[in-house]
Amino acid sequence: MGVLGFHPMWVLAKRELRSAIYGIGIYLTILLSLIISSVILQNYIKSVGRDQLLITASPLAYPLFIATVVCAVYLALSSVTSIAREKDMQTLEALFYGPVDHATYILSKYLKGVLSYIFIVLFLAAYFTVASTVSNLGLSLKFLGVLLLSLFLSSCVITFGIFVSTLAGSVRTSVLLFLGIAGGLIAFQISHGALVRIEEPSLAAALIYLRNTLAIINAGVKWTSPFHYMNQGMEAVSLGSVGKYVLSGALSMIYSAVALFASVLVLKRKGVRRTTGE
Amino acid sequence: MDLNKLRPMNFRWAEKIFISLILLLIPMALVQAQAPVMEEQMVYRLRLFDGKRHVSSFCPRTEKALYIIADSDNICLPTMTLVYYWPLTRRYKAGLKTLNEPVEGVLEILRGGKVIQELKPRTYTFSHARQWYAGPSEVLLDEKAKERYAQYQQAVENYTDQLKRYYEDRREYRRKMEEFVAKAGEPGNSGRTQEQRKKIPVPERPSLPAAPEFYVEDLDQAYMVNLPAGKYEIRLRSSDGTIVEGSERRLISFTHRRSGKVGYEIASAKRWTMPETSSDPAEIIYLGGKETLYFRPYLEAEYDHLYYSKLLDPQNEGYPELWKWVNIKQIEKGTLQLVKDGKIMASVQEKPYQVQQVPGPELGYRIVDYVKEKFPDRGPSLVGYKVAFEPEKGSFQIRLLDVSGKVMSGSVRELRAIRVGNPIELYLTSVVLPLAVGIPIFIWRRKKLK
Repeated sequence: MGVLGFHPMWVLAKRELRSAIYGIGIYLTILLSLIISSVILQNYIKSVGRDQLLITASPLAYPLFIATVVCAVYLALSSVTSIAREKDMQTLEALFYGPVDHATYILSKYLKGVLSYIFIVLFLAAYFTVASTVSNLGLSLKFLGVLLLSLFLSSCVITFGIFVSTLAGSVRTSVLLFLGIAGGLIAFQISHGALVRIEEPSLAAALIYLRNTLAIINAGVKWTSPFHYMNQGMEAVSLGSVGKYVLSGALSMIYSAVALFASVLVLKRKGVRRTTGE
Repeated sequence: MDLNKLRPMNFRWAEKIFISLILLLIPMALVQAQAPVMEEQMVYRLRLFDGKRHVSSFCPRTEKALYIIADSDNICLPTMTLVYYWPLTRRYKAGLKTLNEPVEGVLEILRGGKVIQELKPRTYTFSHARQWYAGPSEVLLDEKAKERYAQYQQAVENYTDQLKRYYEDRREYRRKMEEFVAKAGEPGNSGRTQEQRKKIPVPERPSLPAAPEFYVEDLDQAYMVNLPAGKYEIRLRSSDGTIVEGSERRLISFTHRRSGKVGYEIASAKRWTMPETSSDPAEIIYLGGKETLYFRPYLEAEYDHLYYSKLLDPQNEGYPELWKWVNIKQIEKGTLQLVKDGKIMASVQEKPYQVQQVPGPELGYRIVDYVKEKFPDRGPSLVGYKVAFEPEKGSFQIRLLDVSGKVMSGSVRELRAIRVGNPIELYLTSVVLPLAVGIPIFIWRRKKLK
């Protein structure tokens, strides 16, 4: 894709972004993510009320992480369905008769996803500002760091979705494949995160074996799961380490670049024509 | 029904049940009495520095690596013993009471396959300040160990002499006291006036001598390992030049990720027996409302969770990629300040406190200042910096000043009182925000399309 390819990419991305903002789906997703955040925050406030004293680094980071995951999965899913549908309806083939090539197409989907997330971030920022003021939880610079970090997480999830959609043929297969893999990775991350925090004497023998197995799997999953990259960044924020924060952002961008490159390759290899028999 | 006919029948049944039970219980008893299988093997008995004191552990053959804190003195003793598996704790145990034979030789430390140190056994001891079970410990070697041990022995001898003298003085005191009571309590016609009786000197009570303020363990022989951070191997070479079987291990010397920060143990007056810990300087202390808090500051360092767990117990599974803050030294002198918007709201010193049960069925208690004269037979229930916190909007800060009045590194924590009320505002915001923007745009778009 040369300089000439940027214009069609921008046109495609803009068209899809407009369509996303004019639709109701994005607002319902924001609504869902904010309600989940409210439930988490309410539970947190309740526990402070009960125990009188609670110590934590950033109570807003976890609900923000969950909200980001919900929104990023929605955006990835919309990219998945859009690519699969365009392939299915042969719109994709028609596009390629014009000034659009494989890279332009994939990058336009990515750009649309990232811009949509920036739009979502405005709502998240507004909500968490109000929530922290109302409850006096406090909004720190670190929270802004996590908010910026969520952009990188969404970038990873979106590119992951795009890659999955290039692998699958039909809309149904793409959606099921994406939801299956993303759901599995989220479940893995939650169970792994919960098990490692339990001290060994409190663990039953079966759970120790499970934890050790998850540790072996995690060695590979941590590089392939898009959700893992935000954890790294959150640790950097907690340490106040600018170097680690930048490294985490750079790793997320490398992940996104690799996934996009792989998507372009797969799309080139599989072709843009609808595959019969699916 | 003829009961006489039934009786022998019932007895036979009972007999059968009894015999069956016995037959069932005999193998069970045999199983329970089964001793664990003991295996003779060379293990490393360890006294490793954990950042504050030296902890005892042992490394059986199943564990391929030893973990130590870099640039600290650690004691390592290759020992031949009987090892058995104890399923209840899922750990191998050493039967040191049955077999405890130090293995002699030269302990070699290798790096990249090259021997960098050859260690020989040295005389050592541990010196503990104050209580041997709680205070920090120091390893002493060779002549210093012998000197300190002799000092301790001398101190114990002196203390024993003083104690003997004290008991003699106390006997004398009791005798004089009896005389005094007899003289002071004489009736009026005994020849002494009341004024004269008042002037009879009261015998002085002898005071209990103070015990030595340090404790030194018995002298022993072992290898002292002190290495900079890095990965090494160790093995024991016997006098005939061969490597002792089962003595090869990897040795990981690790250091902290962050150190010199101040951690706090924080007890609220309402739950003083269950203090919370604030280790990370990034943590915020949230309170539910008006509260009195007792802070206990300590110096801390952050270590790799896996390495540190393995240091405390080589058989611990541990977990990689996690970090652990470790309390390395209690901070005893300083000033804790409560600050709001740069203004010092309170400045407190460490003080002892006593918890007093409130009489009545409510099982309540109150925390009062500890005064030795008021509670001569008891020590304080808690010692700390007391901060009475009044909830206000915004945030407070606490910080610890050292004796020179400088704010200690990593001692600042944010303190916030959470508004624990109706959470309806949260839900309202989460619903109103997206719908207030989304619905008008959606309706406008639909109209435009029509």
